[in-house]
Amino acid sequence: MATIITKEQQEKEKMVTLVSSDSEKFVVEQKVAEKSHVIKMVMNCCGIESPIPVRRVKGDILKSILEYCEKHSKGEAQEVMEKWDKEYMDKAEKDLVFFHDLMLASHFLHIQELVDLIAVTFAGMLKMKSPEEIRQKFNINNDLTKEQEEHIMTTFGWAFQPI
Amino acid sequence: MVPEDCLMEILQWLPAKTLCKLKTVSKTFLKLISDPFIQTLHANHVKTGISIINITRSTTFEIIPIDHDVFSIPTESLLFLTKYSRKIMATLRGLIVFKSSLNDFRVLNPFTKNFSIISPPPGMLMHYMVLGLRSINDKDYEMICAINKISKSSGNPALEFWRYLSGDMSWEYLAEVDSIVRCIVLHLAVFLSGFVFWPVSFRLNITDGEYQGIVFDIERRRLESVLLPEEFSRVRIRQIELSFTAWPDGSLCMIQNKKKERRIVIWLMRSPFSSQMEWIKVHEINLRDFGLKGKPSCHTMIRDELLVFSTNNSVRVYSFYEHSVKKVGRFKESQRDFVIPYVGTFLPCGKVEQSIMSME
Repeated sequence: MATIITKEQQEKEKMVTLVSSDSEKFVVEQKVAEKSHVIKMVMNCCGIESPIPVRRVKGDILKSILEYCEKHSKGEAQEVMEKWDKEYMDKAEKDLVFFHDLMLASHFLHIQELVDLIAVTFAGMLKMKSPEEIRQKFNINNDLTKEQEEHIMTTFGWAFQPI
Repeated sequence: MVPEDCLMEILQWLPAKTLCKLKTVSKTFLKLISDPFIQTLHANHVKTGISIINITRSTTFEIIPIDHDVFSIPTESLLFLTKYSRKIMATLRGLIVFKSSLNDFRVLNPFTKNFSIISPPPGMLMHYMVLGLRSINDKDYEMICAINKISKSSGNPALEFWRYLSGDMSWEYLAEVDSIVRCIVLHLAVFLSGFVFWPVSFRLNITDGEYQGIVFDIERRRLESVLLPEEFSRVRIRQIELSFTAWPDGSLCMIQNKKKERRIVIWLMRSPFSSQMEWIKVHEINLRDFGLKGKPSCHTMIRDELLVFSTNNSVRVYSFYEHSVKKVGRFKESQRDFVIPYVGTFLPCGKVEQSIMSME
């Protein structure tokens, strides 16, 4: 006798629960969670019945990441996605700490599309800045010796010139 | 604050010029940017950002930046180019191939100030042309060359094809094909996954002519024709200019320059390698809409979304996304000029590199 599975049950079976480091629970579709290579591997070996702990990622970051994964699992037109990605990044880069955590989490969860998107956005932030401005903005200590710095300045002098 | 592997991901997206500047941020930056690994990663993301203008008549070169932050060539490189180059033959991700005054090929990376010398194929005469250049992997490239000659067996005009592999530093004979095609205009040809496409024109009478597309299949070593839309079968030859280029998704792209009407039409062939060849008109630019006078010439696709052309001695860039035209520079002379895409990369120009400083 064939078992009848209702549509709701089917849908339900595809859901997975993720738990952030601060014990916040997120119930998402399996195909959304699969965007993360790491979670996909966990689901493949342990199944989706029990909640999956994402210990290194805080709730607000995980929420934002899942928002990204959900949008990107819908298969919408490229132009729509590009516009959405841009808005998503515009919002994220306003808060540097949040942006930084988002980058680490996307690395940790291995979501290559998001890693690239963040890297390109981050690169854009560095692009128009001088080395001094970058040190200030990201709180980096200049540990080069005077000789090293002078050597770079003379070898690549033309790179420091405006056109 | 940012772990090194994350930083690596970020840095590979920056233009080469910016990277050189950022070497002075800290020891970590210096170490990462000097790493050959990041330099090959970097080459994968390089988008053509600026262009070199080759003025063949007086053999001087001018650089017109399209993206200001990307642009920069050490002056020594430009001097080297002016001194030794007779003609720029091809460019590839920051490498420039030119025919030197000593009649050999030189591959120059203007950014790293290195070059390598390639002797012409064995027994080659003067009339050779580089048809295309393609990256094989992060370090090596292949170059396809064609020579116009008279076939020894048939006595007819023929084209001889050779391939140079930078990894082996050697030439490979590909084929000799009978050909009525006398002339290959290098900047009109395109190298697309194992095929070289270029347009040719034949005169039917004084004013009229016909355009045809030719493709050389490197694997099968054959010359075949490419079907063109019907309107190219009888055209006023002086009023139409045709060039092939690659669309970002790998389709074959044809740029039709209707000089008299001052329109540039973009055609795409989605599957150039199948038997069903069909051209689709995807874009039409009416220069009158932008108040431009004069006949457009020398168009090049730069980056995915920009078309570079010139009118009235000005170099202009058209953006497909914004439908806008921007003036980026001027030509010194009006004829025979053409625009060659260039962008700074760290790619090696061959297995044996020399520094241009050693030539002084």
